[in-house]
Amino acid sequence: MGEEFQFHLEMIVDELVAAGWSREEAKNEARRRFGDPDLHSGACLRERERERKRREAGMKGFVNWVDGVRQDVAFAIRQLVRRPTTNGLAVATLTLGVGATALVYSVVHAVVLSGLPFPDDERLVRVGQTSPQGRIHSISEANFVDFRLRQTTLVEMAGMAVERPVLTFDDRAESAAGMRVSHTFFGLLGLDPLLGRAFLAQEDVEGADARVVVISEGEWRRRWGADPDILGTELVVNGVSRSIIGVVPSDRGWPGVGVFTPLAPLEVEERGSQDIEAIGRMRPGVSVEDVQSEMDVIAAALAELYPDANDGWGASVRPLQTYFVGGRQTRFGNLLLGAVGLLLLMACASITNLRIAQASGRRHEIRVRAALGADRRRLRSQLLVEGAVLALIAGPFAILFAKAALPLVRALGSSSMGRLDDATVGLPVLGVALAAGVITILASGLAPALMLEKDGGSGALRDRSSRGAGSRVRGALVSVQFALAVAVVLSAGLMMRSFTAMTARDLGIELEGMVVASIRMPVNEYAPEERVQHVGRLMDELEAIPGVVAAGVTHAPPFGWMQPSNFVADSENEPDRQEDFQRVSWRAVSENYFTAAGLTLLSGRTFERRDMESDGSHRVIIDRGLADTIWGSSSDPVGERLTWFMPGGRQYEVIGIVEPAQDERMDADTRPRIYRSYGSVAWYNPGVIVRVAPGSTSQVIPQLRETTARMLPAVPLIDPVRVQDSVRDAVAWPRFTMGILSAFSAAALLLAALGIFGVTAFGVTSRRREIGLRVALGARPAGVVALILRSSLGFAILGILGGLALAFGTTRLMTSLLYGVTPLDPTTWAAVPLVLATVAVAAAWLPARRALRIPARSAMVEE
Amino acid sequence: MSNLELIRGTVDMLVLRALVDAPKHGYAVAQWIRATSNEELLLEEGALYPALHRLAERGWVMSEWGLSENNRRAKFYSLTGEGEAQLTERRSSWERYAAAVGGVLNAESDG
Repeated sequence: MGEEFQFHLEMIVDELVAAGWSREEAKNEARRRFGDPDLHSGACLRERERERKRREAGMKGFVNWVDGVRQDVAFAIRQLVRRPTTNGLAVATLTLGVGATALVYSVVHAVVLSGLPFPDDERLVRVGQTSPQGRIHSISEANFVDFRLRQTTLVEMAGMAVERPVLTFDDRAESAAGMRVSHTFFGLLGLDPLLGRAFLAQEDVEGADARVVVISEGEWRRRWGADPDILGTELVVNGVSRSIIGVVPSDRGWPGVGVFTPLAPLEVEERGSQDIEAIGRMRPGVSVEDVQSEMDVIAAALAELYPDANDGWGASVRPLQTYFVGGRQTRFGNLLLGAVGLLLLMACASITNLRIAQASGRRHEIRVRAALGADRRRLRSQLLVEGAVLALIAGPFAILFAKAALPLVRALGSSSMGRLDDATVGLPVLGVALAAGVITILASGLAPALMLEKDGGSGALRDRSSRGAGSRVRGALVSVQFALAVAVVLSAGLMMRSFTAMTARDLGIELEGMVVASIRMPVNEYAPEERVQHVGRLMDELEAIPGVVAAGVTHAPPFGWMQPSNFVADSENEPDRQEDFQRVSWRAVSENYFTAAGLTLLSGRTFERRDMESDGSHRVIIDRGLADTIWGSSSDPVGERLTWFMPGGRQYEVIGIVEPAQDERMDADTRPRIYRSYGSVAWYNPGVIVRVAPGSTSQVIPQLRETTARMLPAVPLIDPVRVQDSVRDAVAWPRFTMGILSAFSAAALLLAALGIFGVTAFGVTSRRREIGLRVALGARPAGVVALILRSSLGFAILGILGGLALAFGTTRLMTSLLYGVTPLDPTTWAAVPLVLATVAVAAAWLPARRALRIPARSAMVEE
Repeated sequence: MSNLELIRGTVDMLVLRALVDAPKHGYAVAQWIRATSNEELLLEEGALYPALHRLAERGWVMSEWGLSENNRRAKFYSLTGEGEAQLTERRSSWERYAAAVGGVLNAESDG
């Protein structure tokens, strides 16, 4: 470089000489202008070196990037370790937020969202009929045959009818879960038999009388010890001997069904009884809407062909998933997902708050780094890396948290809640947890990054003003937290009130000491009169068991799936149209049912044995609710007459009035009730209600089985349980949701408390000088605390008000899930803001008190 | 005479521009910039030579020894193809930047 610089110097000298300088002076001046050549050549070498490195870095870009990230991570970890409290809190909050999200999602995924256990389950639909009133019904056997033959949008259709067949073995009769299914059923679902074959088309026609049966893998293992030579074995189903032709993996497939017989639909049967279910598999490229429009056309054609039964009836096509997962279940699932979403947002706000606090404390460090040449992108990535490290630490904790809490959550639910036991922390859940974590970290890194950038961008910003901006943002975050907490706690409060209302109400029937079972009489063997006689003798025998107070039957057991309803009217004032009849729920019961159920007779008499005979079947007992509705609350309608079903229908005589029984659903009131005699219906599968003396339930239950087996060898007694257990199932969803929401409320209150605690503590620290000064100038301690509290509580109150406005919108969505309480329940709406305000005062009070300990002279000492 | 302070990042662009018409030695580059800017921009040697070396290392200019106008041995720098491309790119973004800044500064006051 020497020669190059020499040349340059000489050129300057020439220039100066030309301008009239002396050569000596020009040389000196040129040297002065040129500066230190050694310095220049050093700069040139450094420049070359730097470029070379850059090029190499470019080639080894990835290595370099990794190295940068490694440095960032190492730096981030040093940062995190240096502030164990705030970062520990951030990790704990993140664990809580992401863990709760994973937990709730795993549950909702299992019971609401996940598909059916069949291949391509999203192509499966349920086809039903719609009544002229627009309700979705099952389908009649004859209509099913027509729908199946005429349709083209489905690959195949299958019919199925759930039943509880009696299996007769040499020494005993047992009941099993069964189904009559079309020959297309297994193929449509994609279930290949493990052994043997499925039904043939010729076995599935009316009158085929094919003596064949397919059993599930579960039954095969349980009853036949997985005998490989089972095909051809005879099995007596409902008194008919059938040959086992196949074993299907259906314990996994069609939930719980063990015995399949051919549907053999009755093609000339009355089309008005919609009593089978139809499913179908859509052809590729066909949508549910396409199938719906085709079925509409077919339904219209059938209405024209068979107007007697089909006039006004349409078709309904819905994804099969909705057949398994009810709308109510979906709404509970959505409520839980919504609540966990709010909780996650709160966690976001908490972490943002913590990180802003840290960033304010680190402003000096960031300034120094900016001055040393760290550019903004670098600083931003540093914040991002710190967030990612937090997430990496919290992630495994969150998953562990979800895994550990899942068994508890499952225990909180019940087996009636669909596939709750299938809930696992699997891949979809991990995906959701990952997304929740990433969103939380990005969202919570945003505010601090923006603030730092503002700060670093203009170094002229005064300390105090930027600190002011920070505490405003933090205050706003506290408001957000309180608003979200109000929404969470309110929904939990409403669920609690609803659950209390549900469980505290007078059911009429007495659950304590009540055992419920059912018997299944073979239809082919017993004529209706025989059934009544058998039931009468069986009840007598059951009542003879020591510890049994009373035993009766009802054709629809309490809290069961069957909730029969009909229409009645006062025969004296019979309306002309059925629409004007009173809608009632009804039961056919035996004489001691009322004692067994614990229902008090208010007037008249209960049934006697003679009312069960056919000449006594016109006598009915009604509940006080129906008496009030038809004859008024001070009436005693014993001896009055009721018309059944429709104008000109059969008339019944009221012989007694009993107290109302809330025995259908826990979360809804039962319609006015009418009891007919069991003899008038002689239902083959009645519920058996047994009232047991206190403390003898567990001894009595085996004897109930034994006595039934001895009395009626062909009639199995099915599932005797304490009725409390089935009530537990009836309120499973409300109780489950209430439990989860309560836990969320506790978490929400904690997060809100931590938020306001942190902001208040920060306020005390950053206003140290001001407070010291006030104390020095003689301010009263109470006044100083009030000053601190006022600003913190202002944010909390703003948040609570905002939360009430938010909840006004959101709790409305809960209306259909609440019993006995409106979404705007005054008690809850008054209590929740009070609870939140109390939490706010308590959490702000602790750090605010610290202001009193600030010595007056700190005003002079600092800065 | 007070010269304008050179904005960081523009030195490379100016040096590249100086070399567009013909190869030049370092002194000529500095002279050219000074003259073309009506003596407003003075590129000091302490910035000029590191810049030339940086550009050479990047391959945007190449250097070779030759004879100057007064027959002295001098190192001449000339633009490479890549240097030309870089100049075009920097020039257009600079022009946008300058126009934008000008627009802001000349904006009519809101009152």
